[in-house]
Amino acid sequence: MEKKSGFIWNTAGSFVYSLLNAILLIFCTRLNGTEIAGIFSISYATGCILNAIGDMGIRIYQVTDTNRKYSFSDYFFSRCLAVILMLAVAVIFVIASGYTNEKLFICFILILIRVIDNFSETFQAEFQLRR
Amino acid sequence: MDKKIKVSIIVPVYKVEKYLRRSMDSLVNQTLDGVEIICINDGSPDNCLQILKEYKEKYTDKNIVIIDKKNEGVWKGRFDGIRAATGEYITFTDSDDYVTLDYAEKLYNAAKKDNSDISVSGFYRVDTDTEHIYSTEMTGFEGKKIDMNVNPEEILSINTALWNKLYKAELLKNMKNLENPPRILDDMMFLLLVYLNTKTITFINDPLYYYMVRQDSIMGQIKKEQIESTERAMVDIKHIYEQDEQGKKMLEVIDVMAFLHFGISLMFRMSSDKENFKQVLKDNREYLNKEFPKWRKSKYLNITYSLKHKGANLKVAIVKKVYVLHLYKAFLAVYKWILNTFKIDIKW
Repeated sequence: MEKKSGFIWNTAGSFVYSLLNAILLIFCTRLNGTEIAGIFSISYATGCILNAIGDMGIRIYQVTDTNRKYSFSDYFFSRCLAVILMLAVAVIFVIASGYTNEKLFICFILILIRVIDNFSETFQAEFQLRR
Repeated sequence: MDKKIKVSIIVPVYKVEKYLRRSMDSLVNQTLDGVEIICINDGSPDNCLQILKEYKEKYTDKNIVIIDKKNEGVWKGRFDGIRAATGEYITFTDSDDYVTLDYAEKLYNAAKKDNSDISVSGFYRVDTDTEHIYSTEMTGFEGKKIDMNVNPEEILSINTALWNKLYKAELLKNMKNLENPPRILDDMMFLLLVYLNTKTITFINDPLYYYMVRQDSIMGQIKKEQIESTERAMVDIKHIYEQDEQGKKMLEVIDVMAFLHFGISLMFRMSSDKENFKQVLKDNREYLNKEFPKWRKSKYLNITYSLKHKGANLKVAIVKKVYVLHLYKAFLAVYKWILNTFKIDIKW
């Protein structure tokens, strides 16, 4: 029974998450017009690309480490390193792109959302392991 | 020689004629009465022995003892010095370094005051050629006392050189020896053997010792046999600790010490050998995991522990994480690049 409800929740969660981008974009376009929506889209896409660095595939290692070879703090530390690397690349990218201040700000905020996302991954994986 | 000898200073001498006079001058002029200077000429091929004899003739009232022997390495030389020492306390200095004139006096008074087995002073790290002081270390511990029954882990924050410390003579005379002394890291291991019988350690704030370093210091290629002999010696020390009542409580500290010196410091020195470094690092990891497994989970290397305890080193705790995550090689590359590019000196 527990497995079944877990499955439903998991599917629902994935569904909402994949809708998130579309919903945000709809709101953005309706409220601000197409130009801002364009900036939003390119920034969101940048965040997605950089997310690959911040993600590093750490979660896969973490949830399969059932013998606890590495401690939570080791994973957290490696996540910090990955995120620092991600932010460094983000700074280089944003500077090199020559964006206007407004564009730069939006881009950075959306990258920061990815950072939070990455940290939450580490904790989620830990809870998944403990369960 | 009716005066009671309070402090015996043991100076191993080998190939240091350029610096020996500076060192000896600082020793013969010590403000403390009753100092004995035991120089161990370890078969030095240069003029060191002549210089020592010259000092002995010039300062007849200063109790200079010269032990001239064939080259056997500094480890055996130190034990010869300890056997010859007649003082109440013993200290070591290196013959290319020098000390302040109140070195013996302050350390002696501090040890006497608390009836401590060991007293530790601060020291300066100085450039040999320019006399530029890079850093002042081991200060700020004044008032701190280590009771080996209560907080033995605190020894991890003490520098592992034998100088800048004064030892009760009986402590050294009764200490255990190693059959096969290590070829490198010998100071650290000697000190571990001393700590085994130590009860209390006191600290003084003043830097009293000038530790000379060379900027272009190429530590020389470390040979494989040297590492192996040193690794065996460290295991021997662990066995000695395992058979001792006080030592049993300190096994985690030994493991952490092994990690700090073999895992971090020695690997840093080995990293210049780019060809074999990967293999060396792998062997090193296996050695540590097999012989000293407790370092991995030790709380003394935790970032949170190092934030809460003064004296514990946050940088070391971070490097430990890097090592655990198999990123030490990459870390060293970045670290060395930063040092070379920005010409900065990072204090450890």
